[in-house]
Amino acid sequence: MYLNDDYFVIMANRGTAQRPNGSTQGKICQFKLVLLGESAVGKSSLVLRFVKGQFHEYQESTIGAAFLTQTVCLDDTTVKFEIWDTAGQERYHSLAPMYYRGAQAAIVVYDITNQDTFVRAQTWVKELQRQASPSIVIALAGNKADLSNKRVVEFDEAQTYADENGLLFMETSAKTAMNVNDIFLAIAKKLPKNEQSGSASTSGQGRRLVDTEGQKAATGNCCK
Amino acid sequence: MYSTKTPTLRIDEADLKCKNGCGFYGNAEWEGYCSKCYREYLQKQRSQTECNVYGQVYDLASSNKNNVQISAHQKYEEKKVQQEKKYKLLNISFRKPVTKVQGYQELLYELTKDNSDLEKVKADNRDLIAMIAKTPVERDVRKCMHSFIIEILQNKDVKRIEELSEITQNFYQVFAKRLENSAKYADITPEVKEKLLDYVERYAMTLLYRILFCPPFTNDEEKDLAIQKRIRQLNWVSGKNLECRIHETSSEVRELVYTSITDLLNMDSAKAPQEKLSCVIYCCRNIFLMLQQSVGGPASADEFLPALIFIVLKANPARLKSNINFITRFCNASRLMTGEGGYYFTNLCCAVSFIENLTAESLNMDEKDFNAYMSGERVPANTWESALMICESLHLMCEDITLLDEMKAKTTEIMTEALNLKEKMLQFQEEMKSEVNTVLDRTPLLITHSQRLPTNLDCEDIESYQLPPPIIPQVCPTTINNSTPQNDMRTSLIEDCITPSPTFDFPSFIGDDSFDVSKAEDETSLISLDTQSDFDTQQDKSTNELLVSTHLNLPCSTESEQEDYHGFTVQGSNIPTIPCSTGDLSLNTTEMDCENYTSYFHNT
Repeated sequence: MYLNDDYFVIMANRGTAQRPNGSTQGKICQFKLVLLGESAVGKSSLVLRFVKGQFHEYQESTIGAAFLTQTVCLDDTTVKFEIWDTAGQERYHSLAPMYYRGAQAAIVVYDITNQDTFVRAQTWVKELQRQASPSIVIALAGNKADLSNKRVVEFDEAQTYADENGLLFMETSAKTAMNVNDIFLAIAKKLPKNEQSGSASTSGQGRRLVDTEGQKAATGNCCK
Repeated sequence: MYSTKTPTLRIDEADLKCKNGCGFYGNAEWEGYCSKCYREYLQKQRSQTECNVYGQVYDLASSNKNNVQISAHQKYEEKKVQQEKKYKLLNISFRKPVTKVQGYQELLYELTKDNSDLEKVKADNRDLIAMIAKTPVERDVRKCMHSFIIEILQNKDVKRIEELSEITQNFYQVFAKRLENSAKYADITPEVKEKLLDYVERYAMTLLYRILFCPPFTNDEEKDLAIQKRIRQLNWVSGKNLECRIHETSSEVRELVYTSITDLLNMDSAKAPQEKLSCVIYCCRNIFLMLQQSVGGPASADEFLPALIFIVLKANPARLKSNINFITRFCNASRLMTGEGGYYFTNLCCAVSFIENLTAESLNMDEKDFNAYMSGERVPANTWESALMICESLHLMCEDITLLDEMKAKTTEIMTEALNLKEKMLQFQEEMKSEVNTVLDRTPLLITHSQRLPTNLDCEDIESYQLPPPIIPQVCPTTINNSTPQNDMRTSLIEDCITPSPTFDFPSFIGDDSFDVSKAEDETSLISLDTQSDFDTQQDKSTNELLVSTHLNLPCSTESEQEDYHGFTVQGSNIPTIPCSTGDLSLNTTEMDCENYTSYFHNT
């Protein structure tokens, strides 16, 4: 019926990990990262590879790939990613703002063997730049790089686009694990880890109310 | 099964309708009227009694004289447990209506008294309470909580719900900071602090639930009814429409569907926001388990969101919008922004939003079809299949039909395979035939020249006279005494022993025994006769040996030919030498052989 104590212990740890943020020992930063992209470009495969090191050989314990967390160590900081997967189907596109609200990072994934997914990715990027928080770190990932013989989207084309829009860009392969950890590490490096703009309580509290209002507005808008 | 659970979780639709019969939904708080009818009704009452009513129309706790108002209050109580177990309604104590004059202190007393949910929260956190009991910490927590609750009670009628939400969120933050910084809490571990924070939230919200959940001064209720109606209209939407991969025919999957529906329905009966949130989490975890079975791997958001929408559509949870709004407003915001709970709650909000804005396009349907289904003009054929609310026997039937379909498909497959095999066999036969024919055509069997002269048995061929006599079948004596080695007996024994030899042909044996080369080449049936002639010629030489070997075979007259032959082989191998001059030897016995031969023909 109700959440067991473990959950609260987890919450508690998370809370305490946040609170002394910056003031003591090594910093621990928690970031929310959303995954955007057409369905079947391999969003969840990418995350599963990053978090569990798995590809198609799933263990029993992995029941879902929609919400996962992973910690990355960066010099003296520990960056904890909370990865929110989103439904990629066109029909759910309008719901995306609810997911990327309050996210500090986003990975927009496309499939290098499918031109449409790259076009879709560009609309995602535009939307993020317009609607998401201005400080959001956006990375573009050209997935399925192992299928280079079926390549449709050229590396240079994507690289140029990424440069123009100030995005991180890598071609990845969840199958061969190519660049998977690298792209997350690159995001972790680019994320601001100072106390003000990092995640954690101080700034979070100021934002919280705004977020709640925002959510109210969002839910309010859609009911009628 | 779900069907058995239904009565406890749902109430009749007729009970929800306005008492006036205007077709809108009524509300227990408004005495079972809808908002409009109730307003009219109130005005009528007011003019009748000419009683000066305090406060606005919505303030129900206004008069303590009016019988109607008292019953209204009773109904107000009813609202609290509305859509929970119905029998509870009967146990509601008749309470003194709260008035503005009485003030918030009385209201607080009202709320605290006999509140079983509050007792439950206390019981759940027994350890925590015991830990801080009679310490400055307890006093401070109590003080903070009290001042917060009083603030809410004071403001409940003058401020908008958004402002109340803000007060609450501020309280959470201030209290969290206080836990962090105040010296009173210095010797408490962070873990306990977190528990304390949780407990305060839980306690305060359970206490204020009646005030803050779906308050009459918001339009939450209307939204609830709107979404409820909308979901009811959409009852024809199946998993296929949503492209969600649920194997409805698997009983395990169905069980999980029911479990997740129940979890979602439980949300309404939970009080504290985090408890409601945990119901959502349980629901979503079950959906993932279900998807794992259907998809065969960890499900991603691509599969999860449609499945959640499907579950929400099939569950049609009571007061869905009120619950979502309550969680959004009064759950500690940090919980909603991060963590598993936050993610699942966001998904639930998305699902609700999707349902509200659902169009033909979002289901990949024709506009005309969609409208027909929405208006109830048409009912899709597969509704009952996906509705999951159907009875068990239909489920079984459905399962059996699927099974039969599978079996049918398998049978067809086997049949085609069999036909294929048959065809292949025929083809093979044909191929073989043609191949053999070609080979035969290429290398026709032609006897170029006869290697040997045709044998005429009747002619005076000397060789034929050299042949041994044919074997004459004889009855074997049943008992043979070892001590009577008579001559005729001996021959019969020998003959008996060698009976099989004519049918057996062993050219190699002959070759080994260095027959005449020309003879060996003539591998005809006559060879066996030749051998016999050999044998006969050797008779005298090896009589004793023969006797020994035959005696061994004697006792059983029905012994198999092979054993007989064995004896012969033994005998044969015992023949020390068959000299090259067989012909010379046979010449010596020609006369005897001829006699035997002729007698054989006479016998036949």
